[in-house]
Amino acid sequence: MTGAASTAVLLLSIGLLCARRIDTATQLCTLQALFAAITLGEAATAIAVLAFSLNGLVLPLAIARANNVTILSLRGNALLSWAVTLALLVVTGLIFAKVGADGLVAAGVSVALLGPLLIVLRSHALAPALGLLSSQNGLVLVAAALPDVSLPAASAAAVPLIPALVLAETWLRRCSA
Amino acid sequence: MIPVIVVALPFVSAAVLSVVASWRIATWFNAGSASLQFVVACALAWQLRTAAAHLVLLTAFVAMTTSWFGRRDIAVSLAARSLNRQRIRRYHIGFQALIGAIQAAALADDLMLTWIALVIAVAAAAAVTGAARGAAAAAAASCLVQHCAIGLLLALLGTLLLDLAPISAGVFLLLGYGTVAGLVPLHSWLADAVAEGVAPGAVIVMLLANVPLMLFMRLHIVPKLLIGFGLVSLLPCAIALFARLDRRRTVALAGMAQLGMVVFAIGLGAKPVAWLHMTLLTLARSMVLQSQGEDTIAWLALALLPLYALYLLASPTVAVAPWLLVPLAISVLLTVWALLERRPGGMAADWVAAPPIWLQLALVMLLAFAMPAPVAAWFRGVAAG
Repeated sequence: MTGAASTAVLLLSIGLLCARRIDTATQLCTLQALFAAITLGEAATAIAVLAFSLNGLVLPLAIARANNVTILSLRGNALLSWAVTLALLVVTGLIFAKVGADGLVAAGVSVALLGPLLIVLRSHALAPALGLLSSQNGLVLVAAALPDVSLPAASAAAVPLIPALVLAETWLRRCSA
Repeated sequence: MIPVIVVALPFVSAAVLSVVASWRIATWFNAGSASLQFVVACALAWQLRTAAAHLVLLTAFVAMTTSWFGRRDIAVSLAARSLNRQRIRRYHIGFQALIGAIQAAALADDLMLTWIALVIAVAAAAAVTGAARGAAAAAAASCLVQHCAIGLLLALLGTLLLDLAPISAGVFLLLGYGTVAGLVPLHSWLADAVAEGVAPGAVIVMLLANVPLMLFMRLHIVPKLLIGFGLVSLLPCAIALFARLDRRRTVALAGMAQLGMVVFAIGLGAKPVAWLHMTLLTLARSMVLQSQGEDTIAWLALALLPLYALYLLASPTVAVAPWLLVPLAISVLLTVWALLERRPGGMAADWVAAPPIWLQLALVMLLAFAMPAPVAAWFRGVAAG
């Protein structure tokens, strides 16, 4: 179950790189958060619910509300970006294949690293918040792979402090402009 | 009890400053609170004598001198309309919150708590940088948040992986916290934040770099990674110093280059040298920025500091790998050359600005050339702890 869910999170993060509209991207983030919460659910159910509520509902809604430009326009060379994505997945897979159970760590690290790639590839003002939100779901996968996940570690992975900080900064900048 | 006061006092001050209407009273209150924090930090250093206590003391000292020097600069910025009353309030709240978060990050004994404190510190640093009016300051604050957000994400990933895959975790921690310290490759935010924010804000934003350095000393990261990372930061920044930059950007770049030296020293295992250089660099950077880059002696202290560090690092470097001395020496000489070429020709004449600068200069000279035996023992204890 966790293996399938973590694969789904990874595929959704690749799908996020292809998304051309902000509403599609936020929906993908919601699905991604759901699958990430399923992987964490076995170890810490309450924190998994919190993770899905924040990463899958609150922040995607806030991003959708803060949005005023629908199209996620591409920045840079598309072929090169796909080559980077492929290289990143292969390298992460090779390094982390034997770490943790069910490939959770490899999938989690890949998702966490694909998030910043989205920031590089899209020129939208909300791309940093979206990319970091996707990365946060990767962190949830990594936390789920920990043998005895401590409360501070699980909470830090579940609560999207960083995407929220970036979103708040984007919103404040827009208000003061 | 004292560590709690060290962390709580700045946050309580920030809460008080959020309701003080008069900017003059707020400026005096900010300086008074920073001075009180320094007294409490002295008591903590007397009680604990650890690396964290040293960092707390250093942070509180620079915050105190900056808050006194900032009194003049706030008034100047208000007259120049780069600040208004509302922005001064935001600056003061950010100032105190940043100091409180740095102290909390230094004193936390759990990596997750340190990470959370650094998230707060980054938010406060963005508030301080973005307090100045204008598109450039807003863009610098945005750049700060975005770069540090990616850095903190990588740092959290590294922290989570620490038990599962220590070597890979080391790489993520180094890249992540290195970004918060303003080290290459995600370093550009620091130069922008220092150049575009208000002058006293630039001084305290640079204090943020010291916490990641302390973490590099605490965590057992592969030494070769630290050495490589240190050199990779030092050499490009040394070359970039030859570009046509304004004074504040030059100071920021010089600071980044020398932070690379500190990371290099940590990799070599020369922790007392790393602590000493970090302390001297923090004081030198702050006095150059406090003098607006116009005081020749302060500038010379910053420019010649890499030579002093090279002298201290020569034998540890030769002991580890003699060939490393070549890139290290070339980078140091480039940094010194570039900084000496830019030296200003004046002195800090302002009666408000001069005393903190001279106080810090005296401390730098004392620590570098006439360090008393108890202070030397203190640095050895801090490095061992």
